[in-house]
Amino acid sequence: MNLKNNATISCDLLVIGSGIAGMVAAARAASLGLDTVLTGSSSGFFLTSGLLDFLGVYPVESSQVLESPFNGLDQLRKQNPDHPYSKIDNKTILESLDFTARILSSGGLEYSSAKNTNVNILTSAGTFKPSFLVPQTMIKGSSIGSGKKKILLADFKGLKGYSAALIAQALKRRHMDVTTVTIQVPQLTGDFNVMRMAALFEDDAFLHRTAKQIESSVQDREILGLPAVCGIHNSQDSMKKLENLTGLDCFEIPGLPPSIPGLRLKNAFETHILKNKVRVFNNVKVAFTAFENEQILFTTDGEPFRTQIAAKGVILASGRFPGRGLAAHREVIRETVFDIPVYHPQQRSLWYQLDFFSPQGHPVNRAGILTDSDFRPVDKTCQPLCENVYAAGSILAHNDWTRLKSGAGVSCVSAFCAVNHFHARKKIK
Amino acid sequence: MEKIIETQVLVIGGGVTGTGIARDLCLRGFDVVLIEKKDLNAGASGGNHGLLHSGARYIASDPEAAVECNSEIRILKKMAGHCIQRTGGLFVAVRGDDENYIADFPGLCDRAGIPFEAVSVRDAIKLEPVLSANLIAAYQVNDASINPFKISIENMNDAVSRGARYLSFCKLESFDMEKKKIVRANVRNQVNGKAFQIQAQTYINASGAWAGYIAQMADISIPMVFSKGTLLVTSRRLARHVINRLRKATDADILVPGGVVSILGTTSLRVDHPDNIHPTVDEVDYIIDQGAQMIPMLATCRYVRAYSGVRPLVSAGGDDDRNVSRGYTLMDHERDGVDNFITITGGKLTTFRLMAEKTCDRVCEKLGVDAACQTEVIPLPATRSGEWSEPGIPHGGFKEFKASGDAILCECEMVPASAIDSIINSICKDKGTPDLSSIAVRSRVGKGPCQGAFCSVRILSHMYQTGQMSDTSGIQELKKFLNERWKGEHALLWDQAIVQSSIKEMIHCGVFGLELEK
Amino acid sequence: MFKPASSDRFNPGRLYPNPVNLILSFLNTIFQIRLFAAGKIRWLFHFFVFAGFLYLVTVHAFHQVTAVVLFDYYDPTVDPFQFLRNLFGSLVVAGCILFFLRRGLRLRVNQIKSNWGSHLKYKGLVSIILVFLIVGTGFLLEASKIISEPVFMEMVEDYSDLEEGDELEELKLFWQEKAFVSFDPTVPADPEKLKNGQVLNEVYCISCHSDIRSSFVSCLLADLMSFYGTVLNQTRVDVMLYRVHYGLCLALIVFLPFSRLNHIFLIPLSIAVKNQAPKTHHQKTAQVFGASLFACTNCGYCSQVCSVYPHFQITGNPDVLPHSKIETLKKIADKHPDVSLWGLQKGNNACTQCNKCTQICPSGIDLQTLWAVTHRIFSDNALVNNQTFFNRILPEAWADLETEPRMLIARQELVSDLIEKTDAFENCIQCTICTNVCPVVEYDSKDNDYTPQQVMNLLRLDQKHLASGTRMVWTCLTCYACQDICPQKIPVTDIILELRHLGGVRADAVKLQQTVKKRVEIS
Repeated sequence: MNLKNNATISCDLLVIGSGIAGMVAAARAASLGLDTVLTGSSSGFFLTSGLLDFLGVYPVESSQVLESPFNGLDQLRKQNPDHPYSKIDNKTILESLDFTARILSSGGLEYSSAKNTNVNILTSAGTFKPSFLVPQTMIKGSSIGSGKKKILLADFKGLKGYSAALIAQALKRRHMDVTTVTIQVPQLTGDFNVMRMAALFEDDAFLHRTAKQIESSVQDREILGLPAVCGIHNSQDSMKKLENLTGLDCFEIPGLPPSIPGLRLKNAFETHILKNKVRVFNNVKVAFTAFENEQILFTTDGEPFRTQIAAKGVILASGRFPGRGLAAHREVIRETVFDIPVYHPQQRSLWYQLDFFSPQGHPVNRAGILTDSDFRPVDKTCQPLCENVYAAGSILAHNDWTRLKSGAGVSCVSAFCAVNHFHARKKIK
Repeated sequence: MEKIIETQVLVIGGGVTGTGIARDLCLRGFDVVLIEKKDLNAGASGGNHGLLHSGARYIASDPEAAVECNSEIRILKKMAGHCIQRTGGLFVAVRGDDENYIADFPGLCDRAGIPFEAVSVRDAIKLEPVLSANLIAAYQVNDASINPFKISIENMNDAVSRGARYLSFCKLESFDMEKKKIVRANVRNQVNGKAFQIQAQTYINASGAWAGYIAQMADISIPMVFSKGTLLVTSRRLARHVINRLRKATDADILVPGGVVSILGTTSLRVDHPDNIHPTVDEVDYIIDQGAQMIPMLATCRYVRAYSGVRPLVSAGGDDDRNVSRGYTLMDHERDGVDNFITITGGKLTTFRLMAEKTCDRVCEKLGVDAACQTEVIPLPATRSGEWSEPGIPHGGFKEFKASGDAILCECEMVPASAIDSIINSICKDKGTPDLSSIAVRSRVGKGPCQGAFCSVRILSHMYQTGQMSDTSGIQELKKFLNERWKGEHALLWDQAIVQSSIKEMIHCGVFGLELEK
Repeated sequence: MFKPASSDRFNPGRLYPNPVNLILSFLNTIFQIRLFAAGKIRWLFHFFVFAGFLYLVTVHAFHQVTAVVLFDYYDPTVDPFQFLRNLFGSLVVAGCILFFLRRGLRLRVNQIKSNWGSHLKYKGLVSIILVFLIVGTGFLLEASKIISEPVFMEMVEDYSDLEEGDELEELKLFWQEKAFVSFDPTVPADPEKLKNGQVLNEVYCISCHSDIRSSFVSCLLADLMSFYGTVLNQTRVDVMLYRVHYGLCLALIVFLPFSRLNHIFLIPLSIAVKNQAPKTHHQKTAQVFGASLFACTNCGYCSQVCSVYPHFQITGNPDVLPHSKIETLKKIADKHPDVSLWGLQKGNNACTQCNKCTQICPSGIDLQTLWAVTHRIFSDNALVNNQTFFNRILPEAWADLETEPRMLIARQELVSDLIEKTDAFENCIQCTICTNVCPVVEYDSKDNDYTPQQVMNLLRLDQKHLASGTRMVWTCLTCYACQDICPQKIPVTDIILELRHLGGVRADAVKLQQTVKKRVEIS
């Protein structure tokens, strides 16, 4: 799709932001037959773990890890009527999560859930994180929670930020049976980065050598945990090959960014939306110009081309501070596209707790855009700012996703519903 | 660890004064043990501007301190040049500042013997383009900046190389007194909880702001005033010179270059206790607003972190802490009924060597030893482990570094695995326990833009992978380390800093769920 | 990295065994095959002039050693020689006229607007004017001889036994009517006497004089000149013209080595030398500076086909173009005091070794070798191109180098100055994503030093000079993957390119310093 100078592009729906919410919104819109344009940068995927959370902890104050997210959901709706999940029923929630899994599958990446319950995923810090939709390469790891498996953990010499010994210590504290092995990779010496490591997993010879190296450590082990670097484009195949070669079930363990599972997510989403004729303007920032005649006008930001985009509807999925959907100044937080008033604690001294790991979470994480039940941003009088402007994803208020473990869930669900609402309104006209 | 350690002098407190005393005593031939309840520079020595005053700041309020600063700066530049950056300093006034003060400045400097040079406004702005266009007066002085961590590390390293012992995370709990002397100090190791005793001929209380509490253990009362000061660190160095506000000393007057960053401060708030202090949002905003009057860029530049320190001031009554003398207080407690106990507190970073000298002179008198101070003639040697407190590029060329198989663990400050290993070695040699916090004290790990988000995990993993850590304490270590850094972050979260901390929370809470770990 | 292409590979002569080579070069010399390939019009007039002049020199000027020896019946006024002389003479004139027309009407195709000095513009003119004048005066001389009564009388005295009388009058009439001689007084017409004269002509003259009309140009001229025949004869214009003609020929011989006409010798020499296989750099240098360089005729064809012509259009540096490079090299060889090496070094570095100039050069100069030699001369004298320069120096040493600021060469102002604008790189969170997508880091990991995000960090640590000397900066492919993927929108690639520029400017200053310190000796 070419940007032309001084041209105007028209579309039904403009999605601003190509993170999880943006991708799901664009995919849903395309599936409903809407002419969709997607703008934004998808580099944020490198900072995600590749896990798609739904609701992992509720209530946050008591650090209650949920086995069934739906139980927690009932409580949440009662106590947090402003939370995004409170605006949607369970059936739609499941539908949207299912939709997400399907589009990822169409993009070549298989995600699965465990029958509406949360799955506990081991992380490279030795902790367990509750998640919902999990990549196939990680799902087998959830079985170690029972404590009965004989686990082998492998790390790679030189892979920074990942140590099997560290994880093993944490598991031993939970009385699990763990041994470790370090794999040498002669072609990677000194300072190397994860991408190089991950690319090696697509080479059969490398898989053979790796399996050979851990042969002596296999013994009575039942399951093998590896850092989440098992290939970029064919991770599922690489995993299966490794399982065949070692005779062990294998699972990946997510860790520090840059995240390879995050990259796989990005690739899968992109594959799907490009197959479905969404027009993508990568790395293009849009500036809001005006509301005009039932259309919302934008100009693309940046030299030398200035293209106008005229959209009938907009999904604002521009993210929070890292994605620059929200910008914090010394005394106020602003929303960067429309300057929609942002709900946040008035004084900066109230934004954060003194304890970084405070169980209550930090109030500023609950800041964001307030919306009506259709996910349209509202102003001070609770009226929607504009009939066809919707907001979705982490920009929404009342959702402390890092504590609730609800990031991807809110993104998928709100994006899915927002598009549905827009489409329904459009059909009525 | 032995039940009773015997030595000649026990120094309590591991700041610049305590470590300076340890070195001075060693140079005079004494046997020394230094105990510190946390790690080097845990008090004011770790929470200051890093400024070597020319003295010009105190010409009006404290001329004696001004004279001392002036002479000490010259000595330090000669003796510890590798810890010092000869930045030079400027005193600048903007429209609205007290014109009388500006007029009096030259005379007062002369009276105190502080060298200075008048500079035209245009020249001042040429020297430092960040200065405000509203400048009305400027003077050049001999300020310099010093790395207080490096000073303490090198002091201690030199003392240890001459036979001293450094015991970190060892807290003094009580004294055993007999007749008019302290016979033993009861100490507990804060890491393993083991108690032991130290028996010395003389005991020196160099605990800075905690001097009152230590003295209390010998039934001596020292009225202390705790004045907290907060400082901000920019992400990049804004000015080459130290820039002072040319007015009677108040808040947010000084911007000091600290290696590759600039440090802006400070405030002066009375607090009740020197422990558990942290920068507040109000302090941060106030400092920026004040500072921006002389350097407008301060209002919009990126800040990486903030920190607070408590000034050890001995009370002389009155409310304004700025009127308390910055001069040091040396108390020989013979007058209080304890013969072998000395307290040294108060003072300034700039005069630490002088304070140590006076203290050690007194020790010599008491013990009847005739040994002159050598810290004015024997320079402070630079050691390898001291190097890592400077922002570093791996030494000996990056290409060799890469070829050697080494890896960078802290990307922001370019600290490689080999440096971490050598720091751990030196901690172990001091019989300390290597952990993230003690590594951070001796290097710049965690002080860069990411504030420990990435490097903490990399270093921890490295320690486990190389067997330097093998127990289950890793996660708690990580949490402790991140909370330490958080103290300096939470008050200045806007613009880029909030992006950084959001990402940190994404990783450590969002993915690792560390807040769920008890 | 830069490796001068082996001229052996590209030398077409090497494909053939030496005897074939020699034949080819001989043919090229005679028929200027290379020139024909380069430009047809130029070949046309050049061939006219060359062929014509060649004949005139060998057969006419040196007839004592050529025609006389080969043909015992030779006489300048005998056919076919008389005819041929006129023919080839007119070829020369036609060629010269074409040359002037081409110049005057600016018919030169793709004339390159470059810094040809005025001396160059007019250099070729002197030679061609001389040639034109020689042939022109030759015609005039012949014509003046044709009409000359004194010459007639000399001929009569030398080659007949006719005395003043009727017979002589008859002969004179014949020559007046049929051979344009201008007699004073005019011999009255008489058909009877004309017939007798013809007979006499056959007896005495015809063996050496063919029909004058075969000298078609000269007799045309003679016809015109005969209007003033008497005056011309009395002043012995023919003698004057002879002296002028002869003098001009001598002038040409003297002038030849200094004019463009020396290419007559130098081109075959240069081709012959080229077909030897020089092995060492010194042999190559000797070859190019001894022979090839001076065979250049400034025809400019090489620059017309130069692949990096757009480089000249953008930078305005004429020494990007081969024809200008050769001129500068000639100046260097002549130890000209006012020669700028910088333009030549930069220009020569732009050369892509595509060999098009070498293939088209009508003079057969081995330009490929010439550029390789030039490159080597610079690198031997510390004037390497920046890519090689940075390959040879460690970034840490580069950062420590002292450079006098006043030596810095002024460059175009940058459009944006990302290195100084801290907010361009300040927001880097050291996530290492850019490093992970960089193909140079991936494929050149053994030799690469600082990664992209480490280069950004170096800027934050106030180490811009160190950054500008890193290998990363000089091997960056500008694929923009890093800039595209950066979550903080840092213009990583743009900054790296600015660092390259910064390094280049400072490197130029350092090189200039080093060159001035050590006098540049170019052998």
